[in-house]
Order: sequence, then C-alpha cells, then structure tokens
Amino acid sequence: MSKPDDYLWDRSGPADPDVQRLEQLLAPLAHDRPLDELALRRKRNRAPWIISGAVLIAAAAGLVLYLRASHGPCDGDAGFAFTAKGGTVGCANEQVARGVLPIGGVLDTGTATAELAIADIGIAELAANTRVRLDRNEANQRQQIHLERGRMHAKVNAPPRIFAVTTPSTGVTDLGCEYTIEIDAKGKGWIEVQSGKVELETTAHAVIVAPAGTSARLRENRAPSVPVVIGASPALRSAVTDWEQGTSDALPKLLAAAGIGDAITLANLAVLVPGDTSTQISCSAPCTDRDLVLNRLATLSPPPEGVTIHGALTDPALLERWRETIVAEQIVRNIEDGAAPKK
Amino acid sequence: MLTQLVFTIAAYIAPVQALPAVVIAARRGDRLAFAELYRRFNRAVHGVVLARVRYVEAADIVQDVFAIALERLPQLAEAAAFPGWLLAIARNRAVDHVRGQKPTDELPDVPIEAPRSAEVAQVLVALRALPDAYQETLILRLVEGMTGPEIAEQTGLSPGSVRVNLHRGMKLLREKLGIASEEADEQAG
Repeated sequence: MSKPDDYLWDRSGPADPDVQRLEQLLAPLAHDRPLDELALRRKRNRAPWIISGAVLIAAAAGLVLYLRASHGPCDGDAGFAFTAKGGTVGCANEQVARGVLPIGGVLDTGTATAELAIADIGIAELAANTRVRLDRNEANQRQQIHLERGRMHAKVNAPPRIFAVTTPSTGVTDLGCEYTIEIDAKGKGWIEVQSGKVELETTAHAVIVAPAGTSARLRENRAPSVPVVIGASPALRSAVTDWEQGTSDALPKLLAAAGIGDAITLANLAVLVPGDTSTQISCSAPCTDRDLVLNRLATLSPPPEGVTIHGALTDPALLERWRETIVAEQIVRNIEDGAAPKK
Repeated sequence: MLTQLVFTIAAYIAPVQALPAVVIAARRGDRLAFAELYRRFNRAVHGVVLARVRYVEAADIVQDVFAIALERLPQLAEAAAFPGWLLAIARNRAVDHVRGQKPTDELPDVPIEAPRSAEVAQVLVALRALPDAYQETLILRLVEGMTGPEIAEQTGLSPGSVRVNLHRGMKLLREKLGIASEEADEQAG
C-alpha cells in the first residue's frame, strides 16, 4: 500500500498534483551546465602565486618569531588558535591572552572566558574556570580535545566524527552540530544539544545518540544517562534516574511516563536494556526488557518502513534504523520549535 | 602507471563505480574521475547554492565550488565523506557570496516567460523562507528533480531524515503558498 507522500519521496504512488505542478514550474531552473575546465584551470593557475605568497609570508613570520626569541609552547602553529575574552588565560602554564594551544597543551581560563578555534571547522567557547587539553589535531581525520572541567559550548560544521570531546567519564563524538557540556573535576555534569546530534560513548557495544533539543546527565565514573527532551516531564526524568539506579519497578514507570515527544529516550533505552533476559514485570509471552521498550516505542513512533518490532529485536541494524528515524524526527521537531540556528 | 591506467579504465567501464573509488581516483589527479564527480554532484551543489543565492549567480558559484574542491581534494582523508565535504564547501561559498550583498528578491531573469516567472520567484522566496533543513531538501527535489533516495545519497543525510524533511517542508511550503494540503482537506472533510 502506498503512503500519501510516496510521490514526493520517489515519484511512486499516485501523483500529488501540487508537487507535480511545482516540479513543472521549477524544472527549468535545474542545473545543466557542464564542467567548466577553464574555470578549473584559472583557479589552479593562481595556486603557484598563492603558494609563493604564502611561502614569503611564512618566512617573514618565521623571522619575526626568531627575532622575538620567545618560543613558548603557546606560540607554535600545530594546534588550535585561542583568544581570551578578558583577563588572562593560562596555556601550558603560561599566562597569555592569545596564541595557539599545542597538542598536549592545557588551556585553563581561570577567571576569564576564551574562544578556541577548532581548526577551521568550528568554535568552542570556554567559560570561566574551564580547563581543556588538545589531544589530537589531524586535519580532516580526527580532532580531539579533553574537557577536564568547566563549561564548553561547541559549534562545529564538519563531516560526522571529525571532532570529539572526551571528559573524565565519557566521550562525545560530534556528528555535525552545536552543543554545550558542563562538568566538574570528577566528570559529573550535563550535555545539552542545540542542533544536529552527538554520540555519547557508553560501553564498547552501545552508543547513545543525543539529537537537538535533548540533554543528558554526565555521571562520575559511569556512562552518561539516557537523553531526555529538554521539556520532558518530571515523572519521566525521575523514572529515568530510578531505572539508572536499578530500582526494581522503574522500567514500567518509565514506559508509562513516556509521551510522544519522548520517543528519543525510549529509542536509546532500547539499545541499552537487555535483549535476552526476562523482565521484572508481568509479561504474557516470553519477552525481554527490550521487547517491552520497543512495544511501547511503537505506540509513540511506529517503526519505519521495512522495520518491525520483531526485526528490531533480532537485528541491531534494524533497531539502529528505527532510532535514526526518531533522531531525525527529533531534529525536525526542534527546528520547528524555533531552536534552529539562523543564517 | 599500469595500475593507474587499469584503475581509470575500470572506473568507467563499470556501470556504477562506488563513490570512494571515484574520489580516490580524482584525488590522484584523474580528471575523468573528477568529471564523474561533477556529473554526480553538480545538481546537489546547485540546489544547495540556490537555497542561498540568486538563480542567475548560482551556476557560476557551482563552478567555483568544484574548482575549490579540486584544489582541496588532496586534503580530504576519508573518501566516503566526500558528499558532506563538498556540500559544506558549497554552503560556505554561497554564504561568502551573499555576505555584503543587499538582500534582494529573486531576479526576474529566470529562464521562464512572464507571467510564470513571477510565480517562480514567489515559490523561490517561499522555499528560502523555510527552515534550513527543509529548503535544501525541497529545492533538490522540486528544482533539481532528484528523488528522496538520490538526495540521501548525495547529501549524506539518512533516508529517514530526507523523507521527514520533504514531508514537513512540503507541508510548510503549502502553508506559505496558501495551498490547502490533502491532509488538511481530509481533516476538514
């Protein structure tokens, strides 16, 4: 049976007259210009001049640095540039207002705030009393900083998994987004995602996905909590905490407290709960905690085409597809709620 | 040399060469492979640019985007990340172009005769007023004629996200254009 928007999706199913009319109206604007080899060559021909210029500038900069004879660890160029917005910032034990945080270097904002350029892919704003260390800086592969304590607001525009933040208790992998992390020295705190999505490490076999409009607690020496939407009910939040503490009847309470907007919490929970042990609550057929979670999830956000509850129980890839759909819906909901970044 | 030749020939005999192989070949300097990347992605780049830039300027910017991509391709470590990487270049280039320009309505010189050109301009304005996530996806679907699965493949978005973006975006577009949706009709009926 076809869905109402099948035509919009892939032109299958009955034609939607509005979509068809817009297609016909706009089709003449479609791109059909061939590759302009001349434009490519022009661009390439500029390259030698640009390189020569860059070499001269680099040589001049090197000379200036040499003459200054101040080769502190924060004057290098193989790290992330930073600027303090007030007061002074300690970089690798030096008091400086600006410079480059080298790999292995530690930036402590003290009473000031600072802005850290994440290579050329984003910005991290660091609040006062924040301490970060640059662990890796491999262009287009992996850039990683360690947040020891404090608050960081990161905004990254790069392909997924290029930028990651580790904390004393977890790892946060950027999937292209904007988020805020705040932790104390023990790694206890929270993460809130403003746009896009992040992955939070739990164990080697499970990853939590926190999309825009959700937050998760970061816990000392433990995996992060299951993300909840920012406007989640106190009942759901309390049930999530109880479940994480292992309270015996927490799961049914959590499932009962979850509403339509909480599908993302259940989608992550489904990945974390045991899929092969019996549940603590009554169940007419042999069923697992995951079975219960998926049955409740299906009433809040039905599985996408090609995925069934049974399929998701037996095939992790199908479960992941279901979660991915819910993540996408949550991102969309957040955009529509007006939380999307403006151009 | 022979390996390179065999690789290049294989890339064009095979009906659909996997994207990473084409990207790797292009990165090695294979211009046919780069032309293949252009063939596959020029509409997606144009759609992304058109979401931000006037129609008459968009085609030139598409060429710029590919010139920049050719220059920076050796820096792209993960070939599979090419779609997202290329479209990020397109967005940045379009935003750079728009910066400093005065906001303006769509130019009348779209390749369409009046009075339909006014209608086209009105639809483009409505599309550009949609949230970012919807405008690009809908322009790729309605202007560039790509299907949802093609959009997912060429933008790096999941099919689920694209489908949701199309559905929600179309709903908002109908509202902006004052078109009653079938859903609304059904609810009213």
